[in-house]
Amino acid sequence: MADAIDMNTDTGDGAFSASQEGRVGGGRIEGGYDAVVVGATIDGYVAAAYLAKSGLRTVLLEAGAEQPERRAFAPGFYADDGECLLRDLDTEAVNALNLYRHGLCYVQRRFGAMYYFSDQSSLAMNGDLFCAYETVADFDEAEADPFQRFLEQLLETGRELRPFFHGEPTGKLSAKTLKLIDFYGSSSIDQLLNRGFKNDRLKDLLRTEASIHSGLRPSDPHSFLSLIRRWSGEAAGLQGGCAFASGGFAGLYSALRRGAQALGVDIRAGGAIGSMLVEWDGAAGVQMADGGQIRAPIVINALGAARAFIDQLGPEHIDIEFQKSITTPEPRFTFAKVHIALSGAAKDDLTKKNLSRRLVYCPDAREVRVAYRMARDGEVGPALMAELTFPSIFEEGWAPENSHLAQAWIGPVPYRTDDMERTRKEVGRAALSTFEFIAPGVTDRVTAIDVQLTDDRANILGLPSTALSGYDAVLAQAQRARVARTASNVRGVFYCGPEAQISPGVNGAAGRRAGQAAIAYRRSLGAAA
Amino acid sequence: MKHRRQFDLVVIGAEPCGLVAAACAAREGAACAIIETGLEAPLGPSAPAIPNFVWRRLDLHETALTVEPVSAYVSLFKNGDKFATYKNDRRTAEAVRSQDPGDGALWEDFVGEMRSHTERSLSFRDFLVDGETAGAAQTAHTPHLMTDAAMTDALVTVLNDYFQNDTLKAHLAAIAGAAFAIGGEEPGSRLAASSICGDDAWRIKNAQALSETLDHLCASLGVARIMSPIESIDRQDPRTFIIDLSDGDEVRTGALMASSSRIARAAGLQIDGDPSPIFADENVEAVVTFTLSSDAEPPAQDIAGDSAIYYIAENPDEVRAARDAVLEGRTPDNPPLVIEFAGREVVVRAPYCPRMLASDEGSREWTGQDRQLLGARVAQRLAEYLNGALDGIETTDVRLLHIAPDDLDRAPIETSSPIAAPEPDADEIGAAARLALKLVANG
Repeated sequence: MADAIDMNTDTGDGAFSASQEGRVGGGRIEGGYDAVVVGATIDGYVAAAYLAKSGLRTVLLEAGAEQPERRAFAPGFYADDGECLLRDLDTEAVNALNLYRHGLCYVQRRFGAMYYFSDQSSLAMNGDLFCAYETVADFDEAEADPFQRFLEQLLETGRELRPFFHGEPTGKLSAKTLKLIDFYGSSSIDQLLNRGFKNDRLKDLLRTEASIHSGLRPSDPHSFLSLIRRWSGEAAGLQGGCAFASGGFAGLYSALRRGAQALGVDIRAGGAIGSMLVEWDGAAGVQMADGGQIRAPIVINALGAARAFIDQLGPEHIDIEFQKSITTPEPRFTFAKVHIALSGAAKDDLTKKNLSRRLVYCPDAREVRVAYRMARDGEVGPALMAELTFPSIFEEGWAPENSHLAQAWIGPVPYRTDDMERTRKEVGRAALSTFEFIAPGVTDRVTAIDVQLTDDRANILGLPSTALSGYDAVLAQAQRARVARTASNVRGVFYCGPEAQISPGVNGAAGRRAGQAAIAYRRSLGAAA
Repeated sequence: MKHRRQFDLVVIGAEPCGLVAAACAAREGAACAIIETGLEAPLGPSAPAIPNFVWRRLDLHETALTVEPVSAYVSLFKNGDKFATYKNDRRTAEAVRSQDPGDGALWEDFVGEMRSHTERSLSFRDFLVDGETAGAAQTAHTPHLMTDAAMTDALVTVLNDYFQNDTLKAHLAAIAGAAFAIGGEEPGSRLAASSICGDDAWRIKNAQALSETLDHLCASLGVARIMSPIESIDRQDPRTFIIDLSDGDEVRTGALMASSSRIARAAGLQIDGDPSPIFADENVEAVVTFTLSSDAEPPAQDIAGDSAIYYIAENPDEVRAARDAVLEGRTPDNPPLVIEFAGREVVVRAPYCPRMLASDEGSREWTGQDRQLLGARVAQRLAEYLNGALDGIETTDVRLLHIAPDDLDRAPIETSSPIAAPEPDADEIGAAARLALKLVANG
């Protein structure tokens, strides 16, 4: 591979010494690279690692975004601002980067779940969705069978569609799956649940699972695909399950970083990216804000589409329809992340067992509808969906001795309001009242609460807020990803930012796809030469 | 004694679209029957149009039927403004231009784009499969991708993309919303705009004549009419439905369809097939008929002509709020309304009513009092918009279309299998005819 470098300009003498310092700058023009990856996101790391692994000299520019770190929000209590519950980590990428060797470790692999309903009833479920029958039979004997069949059908469809959610050809789908997706295709969650179940609480459960983190209301067409997407993924070897990595989101990041470094990716911090260089309709590298250049015939961009294509590639290389089709519209509602510091927590085995699950509050159909309407109109509804987990149960370091850290996804809440401070307060209040409903008396032990709306997290993580707002309609996202992946008309430019992703949560598949596409492109260049 | 009868196609519901479906299938040589449900919507002053392919298949030119489009669709506003669109595209373009020159310049593009989409046949399956065969060679400019985008676009998005003028947007949102009881911001709801802009979507005014002609035609084609209520439907295998009637007779048929999704829902039947993004089933439609002491005077006759359909919705937000109310089990504060005048009668449709009303103990059925309240609310809203045209109301009748009337004492139909129904489309008759022909061809 390396001998095929013919598109680079001559390298200045200072180039390699600059890279050894790990910084870019000084207005120098550097060469000697086969590929530049812009953006140290998960997909950026994965793409860079793939390139380096196939022998290309690769540099990853951090583009100003800092490594996520645990953030202290109260003395001794740490918040994780990333997506800390993993539901779908691309297995191939995990293997290619050898992430387990580089420190990826799950401290909790199979979250069970405890569902709480508005009528005070509750239902405990095993983390393995394939084994739902028994617990549901205790809850409602008549519905256990249809429920189990429904879950199995969904998981099977999800498994067959997983490549699609990872942006790959799905191959041959079974006749059964094709029939099911005809049926699921434009259905709303409410429509299908009303068809499938009589038990309102089971409907509430599935509605909440499907709606948390979906950008659609349960009454919206196509919303059912969100549930299939959510359960198509596999975390720590269990489909539909979720896992918590040691160190949370930051732990995953540092494993990725080490994995990429071990494969020879040159990671550079600091310098702001000015623009992508295009010469003769082909990528030529990256121009830094201070005037320096890093030249390479392949550029992979892992930033938000607006930044990647409009600011960095430049409007002259894209047309207006393309611009429109890749930019995620601003959503009307989203989910908030809330961190709660709890004092005086018992550390006995029973508490440990109870709190090592996901605690999910499932409001009834009407409450959910009211909440979505109010969120869209800038208000926080009286009853919200919530998913609580307790990192301090699995791992030391999240909370001081004899205390616990609770973290919750809660929503729907407004995406943007005139008075964000007020919204934060209301979300905090809603989170506490939900928590109080689940565990009466808990409010007295809350010592601090930290509410992160989408914009707050975007600022901390250095990502566009639209990338964090919860997930858009599957179809809209798939369509956008299809367009975004083909990047632009510029040869050698590949894209794996948030807009290239269809799957839920952090994943890495888009980065792998971009890396593989860039390698294929590089080979075709070699062949032509 | 128990009678057994065998058909190729049975249509549940004797509305014009059901009659057309049965007649088209009978013309293909199929043995057809229509089962009257008692849930048919009362014949209003206007009726859905008859698309050309139906006209030709049924040789309607040999009948005495003449159809005439309604003269205009008119939006009324509280401040006295009014705005009308017409079947004639050029006249509509002219009206839009005089409202706002910029929007007028875009009107033809808008209608063209709405009509060009074939979303009706687009499903998630097509999206998956097409996307693969087309492969990575695609660019952003292929029409394919633009069509994909259309699948998830919202009605309000497309209206805001094209137009500036609030009056025009309110008008289009009211017509599209009233046709499908959607809120306009659901993904895929732009399909509603495609549907109402369709060539065969413009309603006609001779509902009575149309209905009589179709009755006569069905009789002459040998379509059986079954009046007794259905007790149960059993699907023995994909090609055999057994329908037990309450008079003890049994009907067997190779294919079964509802004449409209409304009838299927009213009868408590589930609908089979890929649901369309503009299929909303949380609502019921109320028809409020006011009988006046003398002939009503329709407003805005200078632009509306003599047989217009009137719409009331101040802006797209009112349509959206109405849909929200339906989802939450409330009747909307400002219900969007569709009004037609016929002599002494004023027929008002309120498409956004919840199927079940929310109450402190969950949800409850509609009561006589709820209907009265609705009737009063509609009358009050009309008074605000019609400026005295509604003086001298003698009687008010409120009927909910998706709910069996109180005097119709029928047990729910027992069935385990869902039933085919036409896709939601402003061209109701065309949709029913296409489904019937498809079912007969498969058989």
